[in-house]
Amino acid sequence: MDFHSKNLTYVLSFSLCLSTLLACSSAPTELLTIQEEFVWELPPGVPLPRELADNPMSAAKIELGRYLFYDKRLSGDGRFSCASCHHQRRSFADDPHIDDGSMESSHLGTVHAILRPYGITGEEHPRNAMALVNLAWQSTYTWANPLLRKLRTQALIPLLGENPVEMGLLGHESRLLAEIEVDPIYQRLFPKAFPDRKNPFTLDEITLALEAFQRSLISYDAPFDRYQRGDHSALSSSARRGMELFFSEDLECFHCHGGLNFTLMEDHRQLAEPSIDFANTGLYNIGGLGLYPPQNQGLFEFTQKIMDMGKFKAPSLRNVELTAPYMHDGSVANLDEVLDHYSAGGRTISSGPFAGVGSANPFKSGFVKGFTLTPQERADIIAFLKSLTDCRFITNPKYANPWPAGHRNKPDPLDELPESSHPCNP
Amino acid sequence: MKKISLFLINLIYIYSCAQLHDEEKPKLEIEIPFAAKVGSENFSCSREYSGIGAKPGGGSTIKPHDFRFYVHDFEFVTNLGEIIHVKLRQDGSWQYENVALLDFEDNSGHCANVSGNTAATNHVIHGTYEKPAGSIEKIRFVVGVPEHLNHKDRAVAPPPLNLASLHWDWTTGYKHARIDFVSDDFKNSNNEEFSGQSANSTGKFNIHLGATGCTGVGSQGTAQCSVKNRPVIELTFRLGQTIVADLKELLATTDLSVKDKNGPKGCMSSQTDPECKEVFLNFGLDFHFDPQSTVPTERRRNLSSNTVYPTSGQKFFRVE
Repeated sequence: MDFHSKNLTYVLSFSLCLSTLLACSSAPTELLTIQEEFVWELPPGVPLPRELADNPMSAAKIELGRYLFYDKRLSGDGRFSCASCHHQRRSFADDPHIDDGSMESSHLGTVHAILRPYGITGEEHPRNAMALVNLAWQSTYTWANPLLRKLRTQALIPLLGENPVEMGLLGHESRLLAEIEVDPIYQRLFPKAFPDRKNPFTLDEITLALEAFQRSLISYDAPFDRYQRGDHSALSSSARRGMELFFSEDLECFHCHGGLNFTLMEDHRQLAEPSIDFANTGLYNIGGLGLYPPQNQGLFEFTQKIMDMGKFKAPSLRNVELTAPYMHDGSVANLDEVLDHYSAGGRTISSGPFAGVGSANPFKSGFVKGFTLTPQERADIIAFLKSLTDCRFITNPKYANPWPAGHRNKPDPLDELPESSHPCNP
Repeated sequence: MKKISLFLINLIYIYSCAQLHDEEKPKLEIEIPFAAKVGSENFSCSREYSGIGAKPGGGSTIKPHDFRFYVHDFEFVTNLGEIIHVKLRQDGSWQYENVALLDFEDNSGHCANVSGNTAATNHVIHGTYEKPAGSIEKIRFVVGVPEHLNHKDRAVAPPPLNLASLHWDWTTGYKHARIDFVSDDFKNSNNEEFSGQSANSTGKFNIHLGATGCTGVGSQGTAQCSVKNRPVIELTFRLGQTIVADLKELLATTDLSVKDKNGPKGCMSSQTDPECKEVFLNFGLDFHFDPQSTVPTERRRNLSSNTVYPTSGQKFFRVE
């Protein structure tokens, strides 16, 4: 079954229909709202995500969240939306090919140019914008914050955060609410998404709708998935060899990038509890003390325990081909360099303020022990990683900017032209 | 569930005892005035202040952006050793349970157009206390939002705990204190490529005091923080006096002409943020992280949640 070409469907549960009918027959003048039950359209073998008691999914919420995700009024100066740093054609990671003021290149000591996102005040973000894919199956959000277990809470960080300022909405909340309250599209969408709320135009409801939309971003139709479902022609022989290597004890990749979404940060209804794991991969080892650069010290920032220095989430590898640059700080430019880092068992930075031999980081994961690859093996692994690219996900119109052409939230059409080298171009 | 019921019964019990107790002892109204100063001068958003910090040859000039902090658990100590709790008036705006917000910025002058600032101000704590046998000699209070209120859902919290600008969604707790200013002397980085700063934020020095070392589930209100960062203040005090919070004293040992060494602009409470060191000591808080040692150092005072003993060495508060 081709689940991606179908729209999500919403069915009325039989019992609700029945109770509606009964209620109608006994009290015909009473107004009744019919609750729709949300149906996750998933391929076989994919477990259902958890239902959030305080924010059950609905088509109306997803639709509202989609408009909000692309709405620049959610930033302090009206220039940035969530989509400014999360582009669909990059699996909702940042796109270095789009010059919208939200990204610039910087330098990492002696290593090379890297790309960093920028907020509305021009403040550089220390971290790389993450891809947004299959978030409904994730246990924690952002690179290393163990406290953020819900997207509705996470949404407050880019919206209101001051360290760094991202969308800079703080202090402009009432302006935003006043604007959306009079927007005819929102006048239709907010009450539909939150029929029980007397006043649905609040920041709380905005974050709930954003959560619903982001949980609806589902990608299980990469060549790898089709291969798993029995289509053996979906993977090249090179990608199949790369898959063997990826799941081998020699390379150990799968220990951290395992599971349904190639991350141990996993949660769904069949798990007794969420799986949570942060790891240090030896990307830095400043002064031989195991330290990571300031503002990018991972789990340590939260626990203040030195053994948590440099521990970050192993991000999902779905669509990883599209999400360069890599690592929490965007300091690795391409997949080849990612393999350099892991084959060396950690990165060595020879000079500058962050010099150090990453492979000797005392807090490093035991699975990052290094390996040697022949050129063919390297090519095979990269072929496998590229088999995780879901071109239907990144072109799925359900996730695209819904605002009408000419609206302030609809970017210039030039911005939307995919560059010719995009792997999903025919 | 059993635990909750017991807890409720306990609460009811405590409450009824307090009621009985109330009838026995007369209640006195109290107003405890606070003042924000910069040295001997009153704090004003419209002014700039020179001679601030430890820059050799006379300090630096600063312009204020914000000056707000939470306080809780007020109590008096008498010459007989009695400890008298002050019960805060529940005013629906500045005071809730045992916590109050003191707000000295009025969104004017340099503070205008700073995100999240408000025109309203609040300088006075209103409460009641039971008449003690002895005479009041000392006042104690704690800076910050108490632990039991610190990790609730801010979106539905009552005033004064509902201000986004005083909440750290990132660590799911409040900014115990928010004291921001700019100084042309202060350059935000010695490594511009890595600081996360830009021309727009040059000179900005933010003091955001809050709990760190937090684990748990933020959105469920169960976060636990190992570094509480709540200064416990004890001052010699008699009724009618004013408690002064002095920004000049807080910054007295920080050289504002030195570039921000690492991390966020100013001090955002991390034990690895070099700009926190002197500020923390002047709050009377420990600052213990030593990157040369890979063993976490013991923190004597921060580990205790509340009023075990007063913070020593604080310079921020005095009585006038």
